[in-house]
Amino acid sequence: MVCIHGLGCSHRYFLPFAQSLAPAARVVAPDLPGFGRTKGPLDGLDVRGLSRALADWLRVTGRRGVVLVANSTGCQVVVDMAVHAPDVLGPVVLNGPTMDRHARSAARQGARLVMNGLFERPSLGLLLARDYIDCGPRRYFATFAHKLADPIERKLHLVASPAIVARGRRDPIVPHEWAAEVAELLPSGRLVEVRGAGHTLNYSAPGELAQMARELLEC
Amino acid sequence: MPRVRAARFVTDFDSSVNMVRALGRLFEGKDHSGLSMGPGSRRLANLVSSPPRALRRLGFVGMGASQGIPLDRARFIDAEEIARWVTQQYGLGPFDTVVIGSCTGAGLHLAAALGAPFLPQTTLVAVRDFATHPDDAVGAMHALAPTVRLIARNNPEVSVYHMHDPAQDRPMLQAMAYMRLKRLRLGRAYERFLEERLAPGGTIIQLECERTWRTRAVGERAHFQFGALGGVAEEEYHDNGARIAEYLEAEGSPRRKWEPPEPDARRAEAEWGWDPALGEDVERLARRYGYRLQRLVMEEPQDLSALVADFHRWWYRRIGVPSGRLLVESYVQWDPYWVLRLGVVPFWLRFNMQPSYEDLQTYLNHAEPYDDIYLNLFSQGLWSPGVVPLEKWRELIKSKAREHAEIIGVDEKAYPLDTGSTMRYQPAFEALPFRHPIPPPVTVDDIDVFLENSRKDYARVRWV
Amino acid sequence: MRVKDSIVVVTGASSGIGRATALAFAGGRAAVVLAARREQALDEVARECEAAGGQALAVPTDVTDPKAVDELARRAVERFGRIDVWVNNAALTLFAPFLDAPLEDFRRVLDVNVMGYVHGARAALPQMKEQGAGAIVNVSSIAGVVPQPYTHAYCMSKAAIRAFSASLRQELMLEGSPSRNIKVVSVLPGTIDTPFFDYTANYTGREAKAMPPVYSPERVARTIVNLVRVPRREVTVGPMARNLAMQAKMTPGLVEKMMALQVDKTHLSRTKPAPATEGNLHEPASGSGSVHGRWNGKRRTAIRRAMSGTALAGVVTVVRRRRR
Repeated sequence: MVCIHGLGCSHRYFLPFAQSLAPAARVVAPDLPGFGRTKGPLDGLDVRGLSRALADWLRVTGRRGVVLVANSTGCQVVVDMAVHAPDVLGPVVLNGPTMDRHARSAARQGARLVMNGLFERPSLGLLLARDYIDCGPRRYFATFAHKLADPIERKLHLVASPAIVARGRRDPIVPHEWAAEVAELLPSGRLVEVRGAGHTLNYSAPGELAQMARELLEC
Repeated sequence: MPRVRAARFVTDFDSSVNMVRALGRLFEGKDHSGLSMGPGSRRLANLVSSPPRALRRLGFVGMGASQGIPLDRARFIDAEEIARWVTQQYGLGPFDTVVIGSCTGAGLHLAAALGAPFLPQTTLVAVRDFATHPDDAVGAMHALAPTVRLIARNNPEVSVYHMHDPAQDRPMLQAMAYMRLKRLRLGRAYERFLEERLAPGGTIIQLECERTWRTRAVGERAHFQFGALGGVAEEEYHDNGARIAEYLEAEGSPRRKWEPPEPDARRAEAEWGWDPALGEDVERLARRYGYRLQRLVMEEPQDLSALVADFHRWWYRRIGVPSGRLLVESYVQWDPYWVLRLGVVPFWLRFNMQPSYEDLQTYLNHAEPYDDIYLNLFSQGLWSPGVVPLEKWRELIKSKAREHAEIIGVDEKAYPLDTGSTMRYQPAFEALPFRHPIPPPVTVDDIDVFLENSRKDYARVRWV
Repeated sequence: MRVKDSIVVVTGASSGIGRATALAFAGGRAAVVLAARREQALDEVARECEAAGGQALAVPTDVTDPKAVDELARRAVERFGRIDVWVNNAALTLFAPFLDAPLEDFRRVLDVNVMGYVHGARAALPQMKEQGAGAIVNVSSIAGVVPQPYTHAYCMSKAAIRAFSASLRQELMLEGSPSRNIKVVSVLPGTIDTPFFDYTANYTGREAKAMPPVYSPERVARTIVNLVRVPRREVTVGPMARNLAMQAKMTPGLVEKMMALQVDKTHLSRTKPAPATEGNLHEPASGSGSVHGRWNGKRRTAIRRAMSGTALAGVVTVVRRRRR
């Protein structure tokens, strides 16, 4: 199982999720170019750049068709693979897929991100601070601009594999309507909501997310 | 000489660049004054064109030199950066229609009417060349071949055409060499533009000009083209003749004929022609996102002018704008903003040469007569073979206009060595009477309706 | 060593530094043996040498052929009885991005510039050992100390020549007398105003120019003649070359970078494209050769000197006024 992190994050915040799956499944969390400990261009890659890198990595490490668990903007990277590398794309768990097309502006997304901080475990903040430093502001904002412009809703119909859209009930970044729309647009997708959790289920509700991932592993 | 320009590599007088700039500015509610580069001012233009003839000629040469990229920088030429620059000229959209493909001024006005941005297949990059003689075709080909190959190798998504036309571009060739980059793949910037800024269910209009030319390969995806679409026929570039000998003598050339290298294939014409390789990419993308793909195929870039003029007339009538005024533009001295503000019907000429003259004549012979006809002509810096004198133009429009005919924005004493030409056309357009608010854009369906109801048959244009 | 009446062999004597050197020796009343590929050019140089006051013998030679070089030595001894000075000078260059340089061209440059010198030394040494005296002058280049981009083969060869000279010098020292009396010296000129750049092989797409400051070939020739009079291990020609060699010792990284930029801006033209050509690598250039190129070395030196003279005078005046 491969985990794909969101904007400015890295493999680190997937640890609780990986722990709750071990030892039943082998969980791998790569850092996309420019994030965590992987080097990348200072101006950031666009969504296609990131998804190409991910697809190449999946290919050369022999991981075609594995279950992909993506958080936040990582979902956009995974969905984009359906455009150019459908052969690599396996079942997916889209945890808090961005960007809500009804709120496609930097100001609104920024405000929502800040709001979300209230619903997450405080330790996540510390963990992400380190990741944000690794990423750097220039790359962060450049990548953010690319993600904001990315029309994910027009690629969802290309995702042929089974998909679960996971949303924390208290997640302000991904409102219920948008998550439902995403699930609707996916050819074989369904929405699962987790009570009391925010945007980052892999950190704040790893058990529930692991349960969904396990379902996809079995099918 | 310092290079004043917005983008690192594009050439300011290139047709594609001017299409992009004019549209980008139109969507911001601005006009295309001074090729969107400088002011449009008659006084400034007069000042610039006041020195004696020889100095003005030098001015054209200097313009070429200032546009050329020094040879040591040729290795940095990046087609993708140019594409990114193109996409940056437009707002975030979403647009209902995007026009892509061959450059043509008629296509510009169509795109303007549709409110559609244009993504050119071909862009021009000029490199400095103070060494080769304009009439030494083989010498120029060999001298530039390493640079052409270098650019082609660094840019696998384009083919590179070294275009060498001593008839039309002579003053420019004295200081630079034309490198035209023709996209064979969409590339990331264009792809992203279509993914992100074309509205769902939108239309891609693909302009395809079928014009080809004799060319010679100098490397992989690297070609040399001698001559270009203009006043001299393609055969004349190779077979020469009395007219060419006279021209060379008048220009003080040591030669009396051209000896171009033996061509090895016909390829898409460097500046205007469409290379179908790009079509595959566009089709794939359109299918993936469910866009409608509409091809607009023409034999020559100018073939679209009659259709677009008639379409404007039809559209103006429908929305209640008087449609009896025709504005004839040539080369890049166009301004979609003023065309729409004034409610004039645009007819675009590719250049100021005989073939353009004949096309305008044919159009006026068959079109419902116009009340007023205004004509503007581009100045390229010399009497190249085929340039039609102003008197003849004036006679033509005078004989066809029902009320008024006028050549505007041309310094008749200086033409065609009018160094101020690019600053003169926009004030002249602006000075025309009657203004309207810019009408809301048409849709692609309107073109369908227009073509269905049109009694005329545009034989050299296909809408498929 | 006395130059008058000495016997001097010069390779690459049809043009540039070689031709100027032959003329300088001839002017010093030495007998010169001229070697190069072009017979017609050599004959002209021979006439000029004779006019200058020396005897001359032209022997058309390709230095990459060891037999031909031996024959050159043999003819020199046959005609004049001995060889006092052997000037290894024949050299070619090749401008190209590394991957664009045809391998055979690359090899040819090394063959002429390195093996040509080796052949020369092997032909001259036995005779000199027999005589118990002599001088081998190897014309290297400042490019052998501070390499330049796009001329890999040339810079390699010029560095190789310096090493070759030193190695041979050491060996002769160890052998003791009389081999000790055979001097091996290297000359490191800067940019010289010769036709060198006009016939060079070039795959860069840009015209090769003489990189300023440019010095006259006569200056190198004078240096070589003086070297024969008073031998030294290694001599640079032109203040620029001397400064560069010194800077390269102090700040090698910086000099390397500056040289790269300098070559990109001034050694290859930014405005004049040039066709891909193998130049004079495999076939000699046509014509009868010449000492000078089209780079006005003499005039440029005069202007430089006048300017530095004026500047110096200015400084002196200012300093004097302050003191008052």
